[in-house]
Amino acid sequence: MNARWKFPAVMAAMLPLLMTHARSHASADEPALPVWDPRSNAPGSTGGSLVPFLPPPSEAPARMPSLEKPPTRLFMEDGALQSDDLNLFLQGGPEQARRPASDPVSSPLRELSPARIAGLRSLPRDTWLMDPLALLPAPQSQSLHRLLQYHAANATSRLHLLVIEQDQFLPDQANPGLFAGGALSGNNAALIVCPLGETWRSRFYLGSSLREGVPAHLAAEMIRDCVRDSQLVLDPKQQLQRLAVRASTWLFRLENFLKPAPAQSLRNPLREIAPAINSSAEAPGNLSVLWLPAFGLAFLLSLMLWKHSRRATFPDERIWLLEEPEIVPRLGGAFCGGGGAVLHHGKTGGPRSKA
Amino acid sequence: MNCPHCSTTVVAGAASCPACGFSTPAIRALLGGDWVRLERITDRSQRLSLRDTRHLEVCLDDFERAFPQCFLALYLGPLPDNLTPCDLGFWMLNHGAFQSLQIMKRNEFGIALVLDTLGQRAGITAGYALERHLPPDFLQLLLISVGPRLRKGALASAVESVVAQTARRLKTSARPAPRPAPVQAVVLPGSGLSCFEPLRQRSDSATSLRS
Repeated sequence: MNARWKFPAVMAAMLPLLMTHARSHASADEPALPVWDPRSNAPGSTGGSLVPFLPPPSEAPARMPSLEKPPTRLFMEDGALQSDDLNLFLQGGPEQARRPASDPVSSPLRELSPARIAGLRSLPRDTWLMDPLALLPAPQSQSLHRLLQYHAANATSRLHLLVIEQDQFLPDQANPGLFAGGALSGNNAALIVCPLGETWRSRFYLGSSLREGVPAHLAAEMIRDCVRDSQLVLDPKQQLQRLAVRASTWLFRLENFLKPAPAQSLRNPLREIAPAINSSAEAPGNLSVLWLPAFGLAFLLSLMLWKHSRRATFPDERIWLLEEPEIVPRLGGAFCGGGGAVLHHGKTGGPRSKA
Repeated sequence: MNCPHCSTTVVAGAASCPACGFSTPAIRALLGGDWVRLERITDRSQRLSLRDTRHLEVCLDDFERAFPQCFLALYLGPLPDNLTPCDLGFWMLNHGAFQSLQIMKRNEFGIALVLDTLGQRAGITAGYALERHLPPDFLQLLLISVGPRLRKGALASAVESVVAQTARRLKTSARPAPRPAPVQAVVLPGSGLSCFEPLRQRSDSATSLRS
C-alpha cells in the first residue's frame, strides 16, 4: 500500500473505537448538555437557560432586536400568500388573492333600505355617482365622478350610476325617476344600478327619448357589451369603472338616434312674426318667374338634407357576412401574409406609396 | 401579394421574401414570437384625445356590428427605421390577441392600420380572408385618399374615413344577413324610465337566490 494512504486507512479503522471512548468519557465526567425549554424564553426567567437576559421592551433601544417581537412576516393572515406565491405578480396582487371566493348561490338578496332610497331622492341633481353606502374608496369615486361629469358636459344624455352592495337590489317600488332630485325623470337620462362585484346583475334604466329613439336590439346589445366588458377583470372596482366607461361610450353612439331638440325659433309662437311677414308680402300673382328655380333648388336641398338626416338617424343595421376563401399561407404567417399597402405622407419627402 | 417589408411580389406558399428575406422568424426575432394581448386602439404617441378615442371606438363598434367576422385594429406610435408599418401590421395580425367587441374573432379577418407618427408613414394590412375583398390597389387608393388628412394631423378623421371606405368596399362582396330579434324593455309605471336587465332571471322577492 502506498504510504500516502496509510494514515487515512488507520484513522478510519480507529474511528469507531475513538467515538465509543469519547461517549463513555462524556457520560462519566461532563455535565449534561442543556435542554431547550420554550417556557424559559421569557426575559428574566431563571433555570440555567442559555438565552441571554433582555431588558423589558420599554427599556430596550429602538433598533435592538427583540425576541418578543420576531420579524414580521410579509402577510400575517392565516391562509394568506407566502412570499414566493406567484399571485404577488397578478393584477390586484395579494388583496385580490386574499379576497374570499364569492359563493354565488349561498346568500339571499337584500332590498336597499327605504332610508337609503329616501337619501337618494334628496341628492342634488348633478350627483352623477350615487354611492349611498360609501362602498368605493376616494380615488375610484373621484375617477368615476370625473368620467360621468365629462359625459354630462359633452353628451346629450345624462348618465347616473348607483352603486349598491353585492347582495343588494333595488326594490321595484323605488321610483328611480325621483333619484338625484328628480334629475332622472328627464327624457335623456340613463341610470345604471350596479351591485359591486356582480355587474351581471346590473339594471339599466333609460329615459323615454332614449327608449323610444334607440332600437331595442341596440339597447340590449349595449347592456350585453357593457357587462361582458366589465367581467374581463376581477377587481369589483375595476369592473365598475369598465362598466361606466363602456356605457358612456355607448350612450355617445346612441345619441345618433335621438331626435334633435327643437330650435328656439320654432318654439316661438308664429303670431308674433306674422304681421311683419304680411306687411311685406306680395300678392301670389306678382311672383317673379325667377322665384321658381329658387323654389326648386330649395326643394332639392331640403330633400337631400332629409335623406341625410334619415340616414344618420336610421343607419344601416344589417349584418354582412363574408365568404371564407381557401388560404395558402405566405411568409410563414398563420393569419396574415402581408397583403396591404403603405403610404409616406410626410411633407418633406412628398407622398410616396407602394402596394 | 407583396412583401410587407420591401413590396417585392411573393408567391403563395413562399417561406420568405426572395428579395429581402423577410419572414415570420425574422419579424419574430425583432418583435417577439408570443401572443400579445392588444386593444383595438393602441395610441403610443398620445395623439388622440379622449373624445377622438371615444369616437373611434364607436366607429369600430359600428364596423364590427356590420361585419361580425371582421375587426380593425389601430396602432399609433413611432416606429424604428428598420420597421415598416406593414411589418408591424403583419406581426400584429399574426401575434395579436385583440380586445374587440367579440373576443372570439379570428385574425385572418382582421385589418391592422398602423400610423407611424414619427416617420410620417401609414400602412394597412389585411388578413388572409380579406385579401380577396380588399386587394392591394384598393388599399393603396384608400391610403392616398386619407393622405391629406394625415398630413394635416387629423388622425381620427383619417381613421374614420378608412373604416367607412373599408365597410363600403366590403359590402360590395358580402351578403346581408337578417337582423337579430329585438328585446323588449320593461316600462316602469310613473317614472318615465324603461328598465333593461342583462339577465331575466332576477326574481322579485328578497329571498331569491343568485344564480
